[in-house]
Amino acid sequence: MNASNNLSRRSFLTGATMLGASVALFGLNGCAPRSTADAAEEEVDGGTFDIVVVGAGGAGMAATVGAVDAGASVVLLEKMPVAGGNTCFAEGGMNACCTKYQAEAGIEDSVALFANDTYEGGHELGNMELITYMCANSNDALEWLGSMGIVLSKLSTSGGASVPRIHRPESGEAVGKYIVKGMAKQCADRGVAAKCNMDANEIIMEDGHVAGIKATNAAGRTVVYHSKAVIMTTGGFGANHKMLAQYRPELLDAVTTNQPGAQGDGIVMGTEAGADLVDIGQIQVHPTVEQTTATLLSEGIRGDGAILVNTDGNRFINELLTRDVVSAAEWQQPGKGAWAVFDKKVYDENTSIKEKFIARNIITVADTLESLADKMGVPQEAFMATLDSYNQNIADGTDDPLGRWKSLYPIDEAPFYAVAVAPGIHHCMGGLRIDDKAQVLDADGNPIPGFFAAGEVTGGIHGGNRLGGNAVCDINVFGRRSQQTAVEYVQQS
Amino acid sequence: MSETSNSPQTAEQAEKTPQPRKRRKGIVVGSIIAVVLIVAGAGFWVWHEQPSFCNAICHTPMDSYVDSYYADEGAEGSVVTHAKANVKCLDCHEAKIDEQVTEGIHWVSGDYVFDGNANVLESRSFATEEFCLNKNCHNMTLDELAETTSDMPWNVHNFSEHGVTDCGTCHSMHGQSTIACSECHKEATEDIPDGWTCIPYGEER
Repeated sequence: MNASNNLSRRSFLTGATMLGASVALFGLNGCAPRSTADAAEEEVDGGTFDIVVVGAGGAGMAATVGAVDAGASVVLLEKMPVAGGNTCFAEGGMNACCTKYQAEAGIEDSVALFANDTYEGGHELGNMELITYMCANSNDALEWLGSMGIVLSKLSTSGGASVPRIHRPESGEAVGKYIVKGMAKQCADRGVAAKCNMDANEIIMEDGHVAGIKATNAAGRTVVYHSKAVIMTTGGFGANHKMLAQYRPELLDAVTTNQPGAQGDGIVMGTEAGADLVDIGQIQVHPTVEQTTATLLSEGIRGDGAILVNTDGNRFINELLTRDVVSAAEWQQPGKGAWAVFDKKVYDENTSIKEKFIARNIITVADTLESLADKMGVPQEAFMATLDSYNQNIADGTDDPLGRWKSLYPIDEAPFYAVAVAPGIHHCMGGLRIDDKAQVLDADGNPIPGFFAAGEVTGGIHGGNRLGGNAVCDINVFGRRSQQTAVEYVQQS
Repeated sequence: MSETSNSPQTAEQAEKTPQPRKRRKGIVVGSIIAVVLIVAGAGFWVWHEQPSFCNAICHTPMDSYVDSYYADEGAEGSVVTHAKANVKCLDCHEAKIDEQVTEGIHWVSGDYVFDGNANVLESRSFATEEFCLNKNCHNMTLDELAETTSDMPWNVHNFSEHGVTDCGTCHSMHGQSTIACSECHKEATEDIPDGWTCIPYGEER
């Protein structure tokens, strides 16, 4: 490791110079250094860029990659030690319509149908302008990811969707970590890997337009980034229970599926810079969260065939209704939760069951349905009657008495699995008000110059309830959109 | 004529004769100075290579770092492991003359930040993948690194979900090393190696 043990001419000269320098230093007393408290007041120059992207989740990385490819100089800030944000936890897939994968499967879909599902699923609260933009550009975004080797080719069904339109990795792995892995590499390849442990906390405004971002680095120093545009992609506030409880007091003690960095930083920074908020009290609880570890059991697992059974051994709802409806039904059950029950077929389609549930020992496994009931502690007779009736109806083609009309697959292939689930905080539908150019709007509906946003930090798309697969669609479509508008803005100003 | 012709000769001779003596004296003096400089320079270079040099001059800011280098095995900070492998301060803090002069000026003028309570300088983490994983130090790729810890129940070096993080996020050379995975991954809280700690699961920042 040492350069050399031989005394080269260079090292001799270095040594001699050091000797001279140290003799000079010996004659002097070092002045007292500054304290860390003093230093915290000082600002460090982080540099000047066209665009600062705040938050290295799916939306932030999509914006960064697109902006760099459009020729902009970009810095991507992330307060957590690693990139990915809540996108890391996305399990299901990406909704997109009119894709080649749908065409191959002979599925007829349209922007209007996708938009209508999103609007209806969101209790007719969403902004149709934003919804239509997302749906109309969903296939483009899917193809764009595919062009970078991030291929979502496996088509499946998800709650609230009229036709199969959720696209997942072919391997069956969770979509989020697949995208994050791919996009983190795309960012790194472009020389803009996320600056981690850099906690943005203020948008610098000058004369009514954005002029940069102030952040705090790992040493506690304030770092100032100068830029014409800021793209806010900080995610929601699903891990900030105090903020959640402002709008939904009953969620103060609820478990959350959100990563701990989801503290609503972008909401706070944005409102300080004059942004308006929309649907801010609309918070989604997800019906299938394992409670001891807050591990999410993907909606795709119900989409692939899982049913929900209460502690009495009975089904109680069409499992493929929207998340809010299924969550509300679970809260009505004894113990305010349920068991998700499925067989080998579902297990084989979803690698997250092995990676998360088996690995964390939070799943019940048995070779027969009878012994599964015993291990779950539910009455065997009632449980068997429920399963026999469910399987028999599928075999006979009889309508499901609870109205389930899709993803009807018999639960008949050992081994059998059960996970105890209950609702958990999942997604913030509300946030910064944006238009379909991803410009952040003030209370008068005017764009704040230089301020753009995408992803869960924004509101207005998902209305009162987000459909599974629409968050991954949102981050990619609007992540790209925010970057396109920001690059135009930077070029014009 | 003879006088006029002689005197320049004499003067020439008088000037010529003492000159070689002076030159020889100069060479001797020069040689002595050179030898002293070589010996001093070499001695200084050897001293400069020792960790003890670092806090001999810049004693205030460097004491805790040099103490940590000489600490017993099991003390916090992976500098101890590096010290056992005979890695010296300058192997990581590479000696570049321009940087050292700049640092010297910063020290003399007090233009640096020091935490008097913890006795440490302001952190300037530079332990990136590029810095640590090189052919002279940890000669391996990220995949090979992940392989070295594949027997851990939670493989702390498997970054496949996140791209990569900086080595310095978890590994602290002069302080407590802390596993960061555990903030989101509960499994990572369950098997903490000796001398390590971890961020509690689900902690709000």
